[in-house]
Parts: sequence; structure tokens; C-alpha cells
Amino acid sequence: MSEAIISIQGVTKRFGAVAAVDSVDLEIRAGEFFALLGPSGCGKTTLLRMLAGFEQPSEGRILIDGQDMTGVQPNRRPVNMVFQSYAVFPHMTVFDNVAYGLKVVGTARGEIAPRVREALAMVQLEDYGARRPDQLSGGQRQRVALARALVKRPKVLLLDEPLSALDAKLREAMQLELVRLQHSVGITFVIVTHDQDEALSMADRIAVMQDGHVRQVADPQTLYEYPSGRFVADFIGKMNLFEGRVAANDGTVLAVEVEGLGRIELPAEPGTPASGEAIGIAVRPEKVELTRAAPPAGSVARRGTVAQVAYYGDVSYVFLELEDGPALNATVQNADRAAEPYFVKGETLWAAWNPQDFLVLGE
Amino acid sequence: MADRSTPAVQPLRIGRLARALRLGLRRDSAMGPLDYGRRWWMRLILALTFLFLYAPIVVLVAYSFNSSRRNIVWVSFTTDWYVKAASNDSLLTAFANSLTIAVASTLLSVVLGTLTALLLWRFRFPGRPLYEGAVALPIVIPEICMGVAMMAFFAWIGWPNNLPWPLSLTNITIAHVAFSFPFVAVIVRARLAGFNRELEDAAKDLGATEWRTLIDIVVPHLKPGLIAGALIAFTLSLDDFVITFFTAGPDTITLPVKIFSMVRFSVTPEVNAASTVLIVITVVATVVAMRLQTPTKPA
Repeated sequence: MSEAIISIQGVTKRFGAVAAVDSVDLEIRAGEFFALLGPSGCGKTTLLRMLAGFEQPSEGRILIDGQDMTGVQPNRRPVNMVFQSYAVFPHMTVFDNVAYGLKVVGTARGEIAPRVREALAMVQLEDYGARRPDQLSGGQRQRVALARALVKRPKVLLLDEPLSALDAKLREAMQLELVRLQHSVGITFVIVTHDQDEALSMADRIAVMQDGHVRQVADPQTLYEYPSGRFVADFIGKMNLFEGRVAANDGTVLAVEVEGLGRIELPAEPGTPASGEAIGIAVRPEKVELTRAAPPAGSVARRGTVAQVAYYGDVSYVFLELEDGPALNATVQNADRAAEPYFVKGETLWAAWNPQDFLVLGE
Repeated sequence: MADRSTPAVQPLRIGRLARALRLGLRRDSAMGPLDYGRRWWMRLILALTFLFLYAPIVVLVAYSFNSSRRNIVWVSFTTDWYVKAASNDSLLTAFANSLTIAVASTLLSVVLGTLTALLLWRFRFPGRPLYEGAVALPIVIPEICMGVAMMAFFAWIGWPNNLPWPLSLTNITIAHVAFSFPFVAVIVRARLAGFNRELEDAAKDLGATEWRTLIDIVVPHLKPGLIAGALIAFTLSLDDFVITFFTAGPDTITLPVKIFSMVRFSVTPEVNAASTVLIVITVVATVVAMRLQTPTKPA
């Protein structure tokens, strides 16, 4: 584990009476690709703008590379930002855009041109130096914004929803490219996004935010398989959530009375709730197996009728109505090439999953 | 049956007239949705509008080249009136005064108007709507009231009348700035509304100070607005009569005031010549400004 390059200590930001960011503590390690993930209005952009210096915390402090950033203006911080609108200067050529950050701090003339060329090469825009921004596509403008920030050799690169304005194909390509770029330059990247796929596929670690609070900080897999609570479980990926009450907990087996599913027993993990507590119990759609024959013993199995099938090419989402009432969503891999759907509407099936796949979610 | 044929003759004649005037009356080809320009009556309205707008000016310019003293009959072409106007010392002095005032008040108005627009755009402070309204007020106040107010104001503060040239023009310049800069402020404010604030953040993020950001990023964005504002300020100042009339002293006559005093004795082609020069300056300034505003096409 490398040391923290950014240390956010008890930071609160109020706009009037509203706290956009509420007592956040966060450590971002040197060299990692870190994502701030959350729905719009969760405070992730405000937090990023505080790192850049465009907003000052109402309380708490931010350290970048050990230096207290309180009162330090954006132009004096060792971080650079890629803006959501890219903010490429429209009256300058690509070369001048990238050179601006060096010129403005009085970098020696002879040093500017090679560094600009190096930065443009990094984003594969070597031959575009003389172009004007209005002659570039959205993806190219984004690369200019990246080169312009990277040429400054910042300690941290901040990216504010950098892919939201691109179409789906280009977005996927840029996700891979950003990760590749981050590995090659070795700079810490902090990205703000509302897109869970983007965060999961790119980041080393993710902080999930809601209403100004950080709900969980973890690597993508932990976040997905072991969410800390209802919000994270629901926000990341798809989820079948049932309401339940703990009937018994003897330390090894947790018995839960679940609405619509009846009594379910699953292995108790340390820290699971005590008897009598109301909990949420959930299972991911891809963990649910659909079969026509009766499933093996030991799994949680219920019968249900197919209400709808949504076909996505690689996968299909099957929406079941279980016999006892609740709805259940299952993901089916379309592994074999077939002309007809495997499961059809109206058919009655077995839905089964391993009790260990249950997520127990407190309030 | 002769009485029935009469109404049919009328449109036919108009049609022939229109064709003779090349106004175009083609019913044969289909007309596009917004192709009104091909209708003969549309062209007639257009022609009448131009006549209404420019006939007086054409007459003014034409008679400045007429060799008769009277602006009634055309005799022959001459440039004598320009020579005469150019040798009229008081007219030349007035002209020099007008240009000096126009240039000075344009520069001051652009700076003051731009700063006002930036202030209103950038900062939130108590009484901002009131301030915004107050700034725009000189645009709607009748000029005559402004003129009287300026005269009363300079008398009240005891502005000296015996300053040497060009300081003697200071009070007129101040008066001109007072009614010109709100126009600049309004134009620049409108231009600022379309500015992407992230550009400003980006410049600061890259290491620019507030001042560098203003000069490197904001001002280039404002350029078309600054040129348009300067042009308006320049023409407003150059041809202002009412406010100048109230603030000018005997030695600080401007061109419009001088022309007015010449006309009071008799309308000579010399006046026409002086007015034509004024028109040419204004038109040239406008053309130059429009040229500067059009973005340079990449080669």
C-alpha cells in the first residue's frame, strides 16, 4: 500500500443551509485510479471542485501530498482537471491550448514545444497541433483537454464526468484508453462519475456517495459482492431486494423470516444482526439459476411464472412472478446460439440460488 | 362589356411594369417555402423601403457636388464645396473637436462599460438588480434631460471654462461617456451570457491568475462585443447634438453643433459637404468593425 497523496479530513461544504458534502473523510493513494461515484446531487462534483480549489471547504481540510491546501488558489495547486465540457479554449489552436498552462507559469521557451509535442503524442494527436477546436470531434477535444492537463505533470489528475458527452462506442474505447494512459504516466487519477459501469471497469477503488456522505470505499469487486448497505447494493448493479426479520441467530446459522419467501437459513457472518431485527435481504439476478427440472437440494428454490423476457443479445433479463407473490429478476447468459428464446412468457420455472449468495443489508 | 374588362387590364399593366423594372413576376416555376423575394410586390416594398431610408442621404451627398449655391436645381459637378469646407477654420476646429471627443469617449466607454458588465456578471452583491437598472437608465432618459442635467451639474461643481485645448473638451467627453457606456455594458453583458465558465476555471487550473484569465480567455471571447460596443459609442459621440449643445462652450464647438449653426443662416452645399464627410467616417467605421468581427477563415 502506497501512502496517501490526497487526504480529505472531516470536510463539509455548505451552500446556504444545505450541506453538499457532509463530514467526509477519505484517503486517496498515490498512483491509484480512484472514482467518486454517486447519483446527481450527491456532492461528488463539489468534492472534486474542492480538490481543484474552486470551492473552499466550510469545515475540515484537504492535504495534497502532505501540504495543507486551505486557502490555496486553484492556480497554485499541484493538480489539474479535465472538465465536463472539456473547456478547450476556442480561440487557440490545439498546440496553444496545450502550451497555455506552461506559458502562463513562465516555463522556458525551449522547453515548451517538446513538452507539448510529448503530451500530444500521449493522446495520439501529434498531427493536430495546428487545428482549431471547432475542427475537432468531441473525442478529439477531450484528448486535447487531457493533454493540456497532463503536460503540467500534476500530482493528481481530476476528471469531472469526462465521458458523459461521448457516444456509447467511443465511451468504451476511452475507458480503456484512460486506464492505459493512467498506467503509462503513473499519475493518480480521480474521476467523478454517475455511471457505475464506468467506475467498476476503470477504477482501482471507488467511493460511493449519497447526500453528501461517503457510503462505502472499496475496490469494485468488494463493492459489488459485499455492499455495505441498501443504498450501495441498489446503486451498483441490479438487485432483488426482499424485506425480512431475523428469527434466530446462533452465530453459525442466521434464520430470517422473509416476506414472500418464507423462512430462510443462511450462514451467519460476523457482525450479522441479532434476532428480531428488521433487515433487507437481497440476491443479484445473475446468481439466480432458472431450470425446468427441480434444482438440487441445499439451494433456495421457488417456483415462478415468467412475466416478461427482455433480450439484450449477450444476456436476457427474465422477470418472474413467484408463487407466493414477490417478483424476481434473473439474468440468463445466452451462451448458445439459438433462433428462439430459451424461456418464454407464461412458462412456470424453478428459480434457485445458493443461500451464501444472499446479501444481508441493515438499515 | 367594356366595363367588365377594365379590372382585368389593371393587374396586367402592373405585371408588365414590374417586368420592365426587373422586379420579376414569374409564375412558371414553383416557389420555395421562404422564397417571398421572388414576389413582385415584395420587391416593390423592398425598393420603397430603400427609397424611404436613403433618398434624403443620396440627395444630401449629390448636392454636395452641385455647383449651385442652392440645393434645388442641379447645375454641374464640382468639388469646390469640399475645398471651401476644408478651408473653413471654424469647421475644421469643430471637426477636430468631434474626433478627439469621439475617440476619448469611446476608449473610456469601452473600459467602463466592460468593467460594469463584468461586475454585474461575476459578482453577487446587495442591490445588484437596482444597480443593473440604474446603469441602463441613461439609455431611456430623454437626451434633452441628460443635456440640461449635465449643464446644471458642471455649473454646480464649478467646472472651469478656460482650460487649454484639449482639456477644454473634458466636460463634453465626460457627458458622452455617461450616455455611451451603458450601451457598451448592455452589449458586453449579452456576450458574457454565452460564456462557458469552465473556460475560466480551466485557465486558473492551468496556473493563470485572475488577471491573466481575464486577458487571455475572457477578453478574446468578448472581442465581437467590444468592437460592437466601441462602434456604437463612437457613432453616438460623433453625431450627438443635444447633450453636446448644452455642455459645449464657445471654443468647444463640435461638428454637429457647428453644422446646426451654419444651417441657421443658410443651407449651403458646404454643409452638405461637411455632412457627407461625417457619413463617410461613420460608414467606414462600421465596415471596419464588421470586418473585424467576422471570424478569420482558416487557410
